[in-house]
Amino acid sequence: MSAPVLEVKNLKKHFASDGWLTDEPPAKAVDGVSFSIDEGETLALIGESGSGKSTVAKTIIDIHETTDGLIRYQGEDITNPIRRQVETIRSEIQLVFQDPTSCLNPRRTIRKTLLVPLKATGVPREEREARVSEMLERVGLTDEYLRKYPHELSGGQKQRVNIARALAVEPQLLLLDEPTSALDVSVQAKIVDLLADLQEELGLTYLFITHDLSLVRNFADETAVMYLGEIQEQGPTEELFESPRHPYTRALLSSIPVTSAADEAYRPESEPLRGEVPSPRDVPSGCRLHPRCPHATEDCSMRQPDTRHVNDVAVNCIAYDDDTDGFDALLDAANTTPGDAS
Amino acid sequence: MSDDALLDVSGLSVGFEGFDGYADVVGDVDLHVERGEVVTIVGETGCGKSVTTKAITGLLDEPPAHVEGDVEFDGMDLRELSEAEREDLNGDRLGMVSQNPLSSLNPVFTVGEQLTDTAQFGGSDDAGLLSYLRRRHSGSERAAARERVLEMLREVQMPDPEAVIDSYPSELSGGMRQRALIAQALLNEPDLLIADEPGSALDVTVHDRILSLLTDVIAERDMSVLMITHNLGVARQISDRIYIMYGGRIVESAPTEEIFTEARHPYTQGLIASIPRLSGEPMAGGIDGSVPEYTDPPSGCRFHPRCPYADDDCRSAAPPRTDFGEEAHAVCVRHVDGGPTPTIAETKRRLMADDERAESEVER
Repeated sequence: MSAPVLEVKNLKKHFASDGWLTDEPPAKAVDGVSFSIDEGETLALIGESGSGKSTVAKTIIDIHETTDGLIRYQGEDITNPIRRQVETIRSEIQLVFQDPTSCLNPRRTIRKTLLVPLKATGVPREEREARVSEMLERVGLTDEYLRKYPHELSGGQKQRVNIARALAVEPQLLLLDEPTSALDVSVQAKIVDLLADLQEELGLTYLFITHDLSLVRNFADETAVMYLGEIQEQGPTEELFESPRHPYTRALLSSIPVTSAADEAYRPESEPLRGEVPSPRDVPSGCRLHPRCPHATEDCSMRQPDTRHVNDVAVNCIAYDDDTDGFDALLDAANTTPGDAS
Repeated sequence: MSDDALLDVSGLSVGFEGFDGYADVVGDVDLHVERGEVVTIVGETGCGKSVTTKAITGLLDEPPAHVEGDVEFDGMDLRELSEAEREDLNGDRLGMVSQNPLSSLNPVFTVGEQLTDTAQFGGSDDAGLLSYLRRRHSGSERAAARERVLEMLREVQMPDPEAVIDSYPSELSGGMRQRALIAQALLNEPDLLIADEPGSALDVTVHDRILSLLTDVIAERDMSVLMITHNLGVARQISDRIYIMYGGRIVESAPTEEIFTEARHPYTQGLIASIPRLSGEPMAGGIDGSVPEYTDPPSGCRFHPRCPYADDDCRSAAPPRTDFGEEAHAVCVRHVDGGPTPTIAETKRRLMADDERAESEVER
């Protein structure tokens, strides 16, 4: 079996507090995350803001220095890379950001923007123009956009340019950090479609970061749900949607406003989470979700949950561990209490 | 439409004089909110939803804005009111919740001060500075107002209201700020609540809880609500009736369930087909193009450049309105001319076919 394209083991990224007079604890943005992505596959990383999902992506391409753990690309250790490795990483792994506008230089035409990565990777001058046109065509834009400035483009078109720019250096792995969350649904569907086509055509591997679970249903092979710097549940997307096990996954699924009865069947009957995401500087003891979790027991605040494997899905939850029937039994019991029956 | 509508807007149009020329943003908007009814306006970014509500509440500066049409609220013509009369109405009988929970609270006053002011002075007649100072510093009246604020904060399920009331907005999380704003809007028991994408700036789980809170509060008070959202799922969860807006025009309206089962306008159908599904049902590849330029809008139907059914009729003349029963209507020529009637399934098929055609063109 060939090595996975990207392998991350026990990755940690702690941000020390600024200033030398403060004694604030470091913010544990990412705290022990492991996953791997095989060639041509898509892993979706799901989580609310502050869960550390973007930090994972930025640590992988060395925007942030790794605190601890291991990152392997094509079997090679690229954790805190040396200079030679940085060049490989930058040409083989590309990041597409959330806000398509702030990623484009407003004073450069699209042509100039797209020429930059070609110059940087040493594509001969005479080939560049042809490559730029080819890139634009690949993302569904025509040559007339070459002379335009970013402000003349709509959000969806800007995101297409960003994708084209990322593809310019012919990367193997794309890290997509909420590529569609700034866009409207009708445009979002277009971009997701484009990404799926590109993957098929170029054999790309994706790490798809988003907060919207419904978006990855048809798109990702595997899904990992992150909360406060840790992956809580990870497994094949299909299985995760059919029977979500972790209370956080269930809460995320049940908070999606759906538009049809068929979709409603996939929203687990779940108690909503209490409160909001706590600060990563002050992570709750035991299971990180316990102050918000509707199923939390005393045990949850005392010890770290172990990872359990059920049907290829890895779940970190004590409450689930205690009751092998999952939460449906718990909820049935809760729903038949006399208080609810009225 | 009954004569009893709480809010009745007819022929509303809004334009802006700008550097690029005159932008004809909102036009021919007819909408009404019955008593005790929850109505949403759904549309994408730049469809004129917020401008419409701002025109209704009189928050647009004229000029540069040009507002025309009638806005009737409980028998009063809002467009005729003087500024002082408006101010009495806003915050008292008309409550508003805005989208961004941080920029709607004043950062230099505590939440308590701001909400107590609303409770004490919201909607009262302007009786001059002296009267204001006397009342502002009257201990008993202030304490009573504060008590009301606390009660309201408890009602919106604010965690630890006694501490929150003396906090500054920056000390609160996004969800708490949004709750404070909802509490503020409800303090004077408004007849009509206008909510502009409440909570959509927040995380999904928090957003969901804000929505269920709103649903509860609305049901409890039997309040009338005009809500704006870009998310059809949210509209489905909360509203009785939906208006779909595109390019500053209302293109369709129907009772909520009807929109999702038998949407009649191609734009609505395209939107519905583009929503990612939890059930894994494949979605259409979105709608080509983007919202129109308001300084130079497309001729005829404003949706025609993006519409999979468009033909010369659509380009040449504004589409007619077709009524379907009492409560539903669609503004699309396809329902009149006997051509192919747009259905959700057909639109989805066409949008997906469009996609494949575009791809094959690129390959060539």
